[in-house]
Amino acid sequence: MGSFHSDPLRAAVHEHELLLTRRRLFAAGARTFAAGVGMAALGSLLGRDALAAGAAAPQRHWRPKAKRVIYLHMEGGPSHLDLWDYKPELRQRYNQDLPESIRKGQRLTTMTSGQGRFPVAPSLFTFSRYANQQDGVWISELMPHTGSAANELCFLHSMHTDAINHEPAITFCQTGHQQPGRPSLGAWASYGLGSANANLPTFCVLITQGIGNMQALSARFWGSGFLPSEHQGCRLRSSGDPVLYLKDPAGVSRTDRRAMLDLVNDFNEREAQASLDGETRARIAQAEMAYRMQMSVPELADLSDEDDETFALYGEEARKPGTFAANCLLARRLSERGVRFVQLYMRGWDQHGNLPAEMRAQSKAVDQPQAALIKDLRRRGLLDETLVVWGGEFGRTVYSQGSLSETDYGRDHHPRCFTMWCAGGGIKPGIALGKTDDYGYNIVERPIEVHDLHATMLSLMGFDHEKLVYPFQGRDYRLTDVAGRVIEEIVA
Amino acid sequence: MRCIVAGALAALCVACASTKGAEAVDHAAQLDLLRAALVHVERPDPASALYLADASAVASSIDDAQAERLFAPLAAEWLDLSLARTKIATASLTWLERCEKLERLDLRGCDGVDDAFVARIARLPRLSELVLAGTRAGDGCVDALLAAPSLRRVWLWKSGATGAGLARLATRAGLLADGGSKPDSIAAEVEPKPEFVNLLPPPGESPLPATQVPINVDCPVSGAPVDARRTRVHQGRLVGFCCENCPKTFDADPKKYEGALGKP
Repeated sequence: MGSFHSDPLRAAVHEHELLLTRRRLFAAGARTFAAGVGMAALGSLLGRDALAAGAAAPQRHWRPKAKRVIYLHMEGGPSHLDLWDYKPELRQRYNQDLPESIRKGQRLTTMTSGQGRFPVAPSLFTFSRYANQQDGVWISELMPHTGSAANELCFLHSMHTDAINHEPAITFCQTGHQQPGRPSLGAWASYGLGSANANLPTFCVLITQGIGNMQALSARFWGSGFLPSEHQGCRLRSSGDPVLYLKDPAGVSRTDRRAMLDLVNDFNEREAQASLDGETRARIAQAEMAYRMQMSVPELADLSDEDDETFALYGEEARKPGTFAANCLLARRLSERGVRFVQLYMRGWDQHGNLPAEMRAQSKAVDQPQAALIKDLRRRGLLDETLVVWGGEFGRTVYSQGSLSETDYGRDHHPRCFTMWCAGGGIKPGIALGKTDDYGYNIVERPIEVHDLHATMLSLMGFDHEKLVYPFQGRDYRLTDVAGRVIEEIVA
Repeated sequence: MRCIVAGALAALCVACASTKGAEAVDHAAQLDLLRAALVHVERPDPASALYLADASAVASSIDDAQAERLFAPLAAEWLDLSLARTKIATASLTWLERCEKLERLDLRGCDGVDDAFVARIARLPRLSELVLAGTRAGDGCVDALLAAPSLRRVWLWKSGATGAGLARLATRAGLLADGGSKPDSIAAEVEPKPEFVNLLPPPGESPLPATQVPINVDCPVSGAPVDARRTRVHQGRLVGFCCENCPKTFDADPKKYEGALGKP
């Protein structure tokens, strides 16, 4: 094949570059290929400078109602029957066997499938009906503060999931797929929305240790999967420095740090240009972010500018780093600084036994702070543009796991129905959607899939969930895979 | 690729069409300037060429002079401005008053914002949401807010507004004024303390022990006193344990511990 270059040396260099590019594209596999072709096309179109600035966020499909999200994930699967799904008739069925007409042969976990009986365990807790925009919502005595914010909340009583154990259920909730490897919800939000504050990560994760049985929390729950790694969640630690190794080592000045970073970035940039590996540019972006976070994170974590009235609202626990109260306060501070997605994990909602005592303690830890978060966002003018989501990975069984008494019982995992709630960010306030049967076991009205919730969240952020895609392994991937319908009834 | 180029050019034309003659703004250069200053800028609505800006990353360093340099050239093209916690004051009104398409303005925590400031921006024709929480605006701007042509929501928590001022604002239909003291939802109905009935299993079915009292006093695994909350049904009998771990040990090899329970 003839060359268009008249200079043989330039022609040889050009051929070599083409060969190198082809080799690298194919050798690096489908992922790099997809990204590489896109970057090469962009590179031709926009030139090197555009690439150096990093990939732009996708264009929204419509004007968003939510600029940011705070997702309060209750790890372990809190009992909907003891918190939100009021079933007074169950009091009359205490210790009766769960009818087969209700269970319908549905699968159980191996933790209770061998039980001789499935005795109905009504909630020990009394419920109150709180005024909202409809005819009121019944909420357990365990959540009085949350009840006081009922006017802002939208309850989804008919959530259901496909997974029956924690790991796949959390993975499903957080990535839209039960098997690991997909980008997390926060990573999709980061990819879609882009950063609104260049000094802080777009996606932050805060974890609170619970009182009850706790399951492992894998970092992949906030991972970026096949999205560029700059979209992964940044976990802020609860004690000591919020981010490890953020401080300059003794003897290294900020000027030295800058010089070092410039040199490393120069090498990385050369490698990025030669290899077309998007991850190298993600590394440069992360190094720059870390440099800026040296200034922004200490200011973020310093609560000295919060007044006593704020601590009265969130509770005195908010003064102790790592508590759910402190993390709710931090979530508000992150949100008002433009962080797009803040993920809180509250561990310890896995009450297979000793449920009443453990749920009292768990609820006490979250009730006041989560209500405070809603009220605090509202009065600052942030709630209407911040979507708050609360929920676990599944619900709990109406029958008791292990022995049942009037003062104690346990509940197994129950994916067939559970309750979540949302607030702000374009959600209709003070309503409830969906119903379960008298046993809180099956959905009888308006089933809502996890994919539906995801589709709705993306919609509120300005995206058609069927069109927010990322190419990987030869096809376009979505958060909602091939499912998901926007829950139109709850969109304001 | 041609489509992409054409689309990009079309978008640029739409953006430039709103500027006139000598006042024409180099959009790309101004956007670069904003981004270099770490101000977030985006077009939130694909159907519109208007912009949103969020200065939260550098709020404390933005004063009137900085704001003029960064935001004034695109004054006619702002849809949504978040200037929360910046140091802007009266001098910024010169360009803010030209933001005729502005719909949302967040001035939360801006100490330089007072009644006179609000009185002037309230006239903006499309302004529908105004965040004044933590500013010095007070009852003195209530008349201006009541006369604001498009205002639907205003936030006044920790501002100078009093209950009387908020009450006046509440008189205007279609205007929601949030002073931070929105009443809590109240418990309209409280269920009585639950009473449990049907304590016994249905007739003919009694695999559960008749009694809820464990058959043993000491834990079969550790020998420590039984905690009545830690129980297991084993061979139709309720077995008590001392802690939450011993039942797991027991379940792993019940035969090993059956001796400690005596014969059924």
